[in-house]
Amino acid sequence: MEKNFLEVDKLQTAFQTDKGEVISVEEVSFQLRPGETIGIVGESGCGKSVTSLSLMRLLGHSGVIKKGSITFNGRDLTKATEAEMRSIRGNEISMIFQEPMTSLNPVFTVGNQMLELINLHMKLPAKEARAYAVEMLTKVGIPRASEIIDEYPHKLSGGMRQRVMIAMALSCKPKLLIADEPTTALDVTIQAQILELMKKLRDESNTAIMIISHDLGVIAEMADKVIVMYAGQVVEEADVFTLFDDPKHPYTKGLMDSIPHLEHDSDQRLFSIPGTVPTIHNMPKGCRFHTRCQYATEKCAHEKPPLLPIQPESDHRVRCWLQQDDPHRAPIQPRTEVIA
Amino acid sequence: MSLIKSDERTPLLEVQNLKKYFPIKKGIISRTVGQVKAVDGLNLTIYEGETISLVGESGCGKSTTGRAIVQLDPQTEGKVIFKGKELSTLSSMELRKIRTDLQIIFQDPYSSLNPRKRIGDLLAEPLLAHKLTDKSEVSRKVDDILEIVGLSKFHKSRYPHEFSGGQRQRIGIARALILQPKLIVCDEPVSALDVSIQAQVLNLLKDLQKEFQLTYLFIAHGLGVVKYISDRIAVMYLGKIVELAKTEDIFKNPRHPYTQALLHAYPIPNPHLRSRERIVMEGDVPSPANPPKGCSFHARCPLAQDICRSQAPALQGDEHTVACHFPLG
Amino acid sequence: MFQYIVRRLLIAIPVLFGVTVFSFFIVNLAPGNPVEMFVNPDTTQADIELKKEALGLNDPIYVQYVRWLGNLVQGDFGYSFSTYEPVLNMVSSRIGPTLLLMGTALFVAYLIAIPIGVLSATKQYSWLDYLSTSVSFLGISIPHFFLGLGFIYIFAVQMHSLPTGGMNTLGSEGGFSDTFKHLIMPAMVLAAGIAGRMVRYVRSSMLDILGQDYLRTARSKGLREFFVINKHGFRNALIPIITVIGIDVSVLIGGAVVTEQIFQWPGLGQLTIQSIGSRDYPTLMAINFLAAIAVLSSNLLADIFYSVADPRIKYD
Repeated sequence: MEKNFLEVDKLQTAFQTDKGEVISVEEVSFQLRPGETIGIVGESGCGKSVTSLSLMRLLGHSGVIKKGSITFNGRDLTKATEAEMRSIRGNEISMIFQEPMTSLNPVFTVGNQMLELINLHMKLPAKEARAYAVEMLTKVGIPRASEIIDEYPHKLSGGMRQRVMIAMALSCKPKLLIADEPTTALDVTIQAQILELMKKLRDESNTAIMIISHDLGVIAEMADKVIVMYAGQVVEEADVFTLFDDPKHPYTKGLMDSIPHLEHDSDQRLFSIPGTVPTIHNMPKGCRFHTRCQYATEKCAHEKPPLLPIQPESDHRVRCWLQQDDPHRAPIQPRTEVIA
Repeated sequence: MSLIKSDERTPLLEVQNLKKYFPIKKGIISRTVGQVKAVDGLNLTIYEGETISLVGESGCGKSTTGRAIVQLDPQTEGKVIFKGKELSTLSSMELRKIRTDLQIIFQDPYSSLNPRKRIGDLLAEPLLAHKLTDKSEVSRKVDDILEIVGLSKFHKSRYPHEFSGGQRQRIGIARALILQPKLIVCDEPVSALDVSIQAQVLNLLKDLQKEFQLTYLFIAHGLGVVKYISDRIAVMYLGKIVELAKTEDIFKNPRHPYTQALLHAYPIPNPHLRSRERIVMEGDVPSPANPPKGCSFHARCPLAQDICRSQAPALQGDEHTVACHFPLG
Repeated sequence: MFQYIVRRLLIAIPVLFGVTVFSFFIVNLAPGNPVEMFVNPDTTQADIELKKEALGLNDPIYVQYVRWLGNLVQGDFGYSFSTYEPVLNMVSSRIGPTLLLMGTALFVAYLIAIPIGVLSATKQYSWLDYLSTSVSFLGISIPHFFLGLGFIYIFAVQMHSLPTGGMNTLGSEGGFSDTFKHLIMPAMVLAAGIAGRMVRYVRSSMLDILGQDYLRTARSKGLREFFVINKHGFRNALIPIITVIGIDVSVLIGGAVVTEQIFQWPGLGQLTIQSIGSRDYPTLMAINFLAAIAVLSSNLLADIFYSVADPRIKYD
């Protein structure tokens, strides 16, 4: 088994706002091996996109990594200089985004935008660079690649643009591809095409993928292991089969029960999590989910639950007092967090 | 047996040969050189109390159909008959009257609510516009409707931006509901919402339907959502219905290859099924400005034969209709 | 594209026709007439009538207009009522200085305003942003004549470093550096308003662009922030700015009239004031006509550049 090339440890990211500093990602830890896919699932504002932008250190003027480390190939990215980060972005870690329609610059041709990246990191002679760009476009299934390369993005459909984004992102053979809701804006048939393509390319190149999605279906199709985030915290993590077969956190369960499945009977009433996602300025005390949790106790309202393995040495971790107060459970060793 | 059943139902709205074309203009004097055929000959009967869904990929004409039915964007050709009256022949006075029975809910509740108006005023607006009630009655009705959709009286003095996405959609529903309509066109009402909120809104729509005997025309692209809410489903492709059947028939026994491909493409939230056999459809939807000859699906269809390239198939069947030369099953 | 240009040119014909009708009647409605400007105590009423007859001023106004238009179509702008020179000669000798002044003003204004606007947007709410937005507000709101007189007082009267007016020092041979010295103040006055407006346009246009997804894509490729802003950002911010350039030309024409008068710059603006004073209808009409052409063609050019800058826009 190959070694982890990425270890994120207790990452905390904060933003400066008019109303003072807000912590938008509280504590995220995970590891990745080459060729592995991690899925991050959660609703809007849970901090899943901020986590990915933290890895790229693209948090803008107001965002800052407050705590924790991101060890990538032995280097701590939280301490890397801006120049070092620039040589990593697009080269060793690359990214594709939710909106293929707006992620490409409308005033430059597809080729211009691809060659910009290839020239920046690969330093190929002009002719070879262009041939390589055409090769990449062909690889992601773009027909007439040698013509499309001179087109402007608006001539392409959403699915084609996302293919261009993928071709660009994989040009420099990155170790990690971050895909932030890569298919949310696409139709299901195109989504299926893009997911298939990502799987194929992952298997060919052994690139690790971090896929961020609100869609449990997409996560179930793609991921090897899954992190469930809620209100800036990881509430549960496990390998994909364990998570879907045996979700422990009431939020994970609620999320799974609230999606209408194709195999469900439609007479069955959908489970719905009451209330709304808390805003970043208005985080509940104690467990952040307790305001919407049907099992919440007095303790949940006052004390923050830690993220702990359900069994010692288990990779299935959950942030919930219900799990930890279960008398049948073996005593547990705090691993990732000290109780606040 | 099924035929008798369908005769018992009363049609609430009938769409006959609906066409909506958008002209393409070109040249020195802006001549019309072509048409985008957004909806191209659509027939649909909606029965009282049912939920019928239109599904299909973006650009298939499902939203255009919805907007034509409520006469927001009247059709180029064809008829929309509501309670025996053909809408395009009505005077604007009569149309206004009938609009109380025909309401629409949009995908993005935020952009369809005037940001400078309080919720109370927004909800009272349709009542006042239709001169239905006096002031105290308007206020009482607004209170009632807020409670029905799961909001409170004190929300009346708030502005739209103070609400979350799910709450705004509740306001959108309240506004459509306040005139006690017969038919509500729901145009992707939950697509912009978080998963946990989607379920709340879908449950609300179901409850309201029972309570007020509503009929829904539900427009969506998410198959799971459609399955949960609908009695019947019409699958659209390039401005036409390619398959129309009861919900379970569509899911258990899809007869059009496109319907099957849609079902196959839908990601199932069960990792054990990830290596299931499935057909991934190649290519994009063709442009509705230049639809393929014959069956419009033939270019992406794994089963296409010569006849598919030359002749457009007609919708056939009684309860389960399909437009395909070689239907499945 | 070609079709589009042809269509725009065809539309320009009725517009130009309308402009000439409108300005001809406005000019003629002004009280007084050219002959009265020559009247001195010895002029008899008969002389005046004779003169009026000779200039065709006794004909009904529409007859005068049709005559003027007929000549124009043949390329004849007529003769000046005050100097009896061909209008074409008078106007063409003034075009050069005006173009020099307007071109310099436009060039300087953009050269200063665009980088400031970009910086101001990328460093929003910094002291630099506050400074540039307040200074640009001053540039927009100070009238030309006030700024012009202020400049003359400071640079010419107090500091004696720049000439008060004209294009060349009287009696000198002129030459580049002499003309340049004379050009500085009027060009600055004219540039101030344009630059002020431009800073604000560039700033707000750039602010719209800064939140766009494709800038995040550019950053995620590992590009330097300098290229992210100036290549990916500015190229897009330019698109709405181009439309403003078309408007700026008409602002410039209006500004040139006042500025040239203040600085005695021998251009079309100054000629305009002189012609109004002497009710020199043919000259005024020629200038109006030229101005209309300038405004129409600069707007057309702006629209053409617009489609060059934005590949999504295709005219046909």
